[in-house]
Amino acid sequence: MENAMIAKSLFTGQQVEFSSFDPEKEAAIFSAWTADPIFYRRMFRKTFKPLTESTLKKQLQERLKEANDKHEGVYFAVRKIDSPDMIGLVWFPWIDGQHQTSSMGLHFGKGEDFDAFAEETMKMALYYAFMELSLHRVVIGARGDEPKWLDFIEQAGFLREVQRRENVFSEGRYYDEYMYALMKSEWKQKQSEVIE
Amino acid sequence: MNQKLFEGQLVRLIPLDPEKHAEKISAWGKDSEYQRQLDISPAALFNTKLVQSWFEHEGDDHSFMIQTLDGDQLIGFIELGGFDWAAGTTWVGIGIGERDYRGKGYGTDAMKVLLHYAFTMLNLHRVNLNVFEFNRRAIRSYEKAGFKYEGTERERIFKEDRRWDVIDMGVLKSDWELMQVETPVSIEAPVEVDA
Repeated sequence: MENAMIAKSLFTGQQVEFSSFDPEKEAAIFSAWTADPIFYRRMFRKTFKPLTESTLKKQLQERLKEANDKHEGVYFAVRKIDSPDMIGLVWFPWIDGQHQTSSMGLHFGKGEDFDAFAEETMKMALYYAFMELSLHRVVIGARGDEPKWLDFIEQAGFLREVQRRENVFSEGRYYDEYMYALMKSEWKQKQSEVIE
Repeated sequence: MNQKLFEGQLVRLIPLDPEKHAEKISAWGKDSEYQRQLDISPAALFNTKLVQSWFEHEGDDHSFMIQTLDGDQLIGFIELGGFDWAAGTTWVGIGIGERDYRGKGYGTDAMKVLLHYAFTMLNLHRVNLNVFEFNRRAIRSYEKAGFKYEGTERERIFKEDRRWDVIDMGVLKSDWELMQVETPVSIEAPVEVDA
């Protein structure tokens, strides 16, 4: 029984798998993604500025090194099973071990990949968060003008906790920013409901 | 420096000089209650040199010491950091290191002075803060300065073998401007001394 629990693959799903990525070879993909202000904000938390491939090679390398050295961050490329192409990213940029909490991000470069694979990717990411990182809570961000994303994260079980009024400025206007969280107990409850 | 811009009813803000002020800030850290109310990281003890290095590497942050008008005592610090200049947003942190000056309106007064600076000189759109649920006195003080409740991060921190919520608050420039109309010339408005 114990062996079966530990033998369960954390990184391979039915349709997608998590893998590492190589900034040297894959920075161009990130560079294209940074033209999306929403991805940019979630990943970099700074004033919007699309980043070049060469800037990203350096930045991502540093980020991966820091995450590895301090054990405070985890980054997964999302690829279709048996395909070498990175189609998305899952990340836990700041794992706060003392308080057993982390923020997380999930992104797909193409809308059709989001539609096809986001649900399974989120399931794998949350399993990893609660069963491997042993988190008590996971936080994810959203903006007021993203109805599809809001539906998606609410469907995954996240609850809205904070509404920061007019905290984001994009395309000439302000948007509210939301912080959502999912507790381990709520996630476990949802798992048992699915099984029943 | 326009002194009046940085003066309230009880305190003035002076630029934080890491070389001059680190020793005092390091000494305040011996009060573990102060640290636990101030910071999410584990309370620990940091020497003057280390504290000095934090403030020397602040980059864009705007850090001030809080000094009493009566007697020129340095009683705490306040700072703005984590700016998003496109959105005009930032975060504020405040600590009253001197125990005798807590709960008497000094922190509220310092926050009012800082918000005046943030909105009229830095042209910010909003200021954010987090506060732990066990710091009720601070929550009341922030409300008096103009902050509004924006949500609760459930069981965000773990201390004393239990989990505690973190409260999120924010003040928009429009909220603050409305307060100025309701209480004209905020800087000279009376400050309740029991907060």
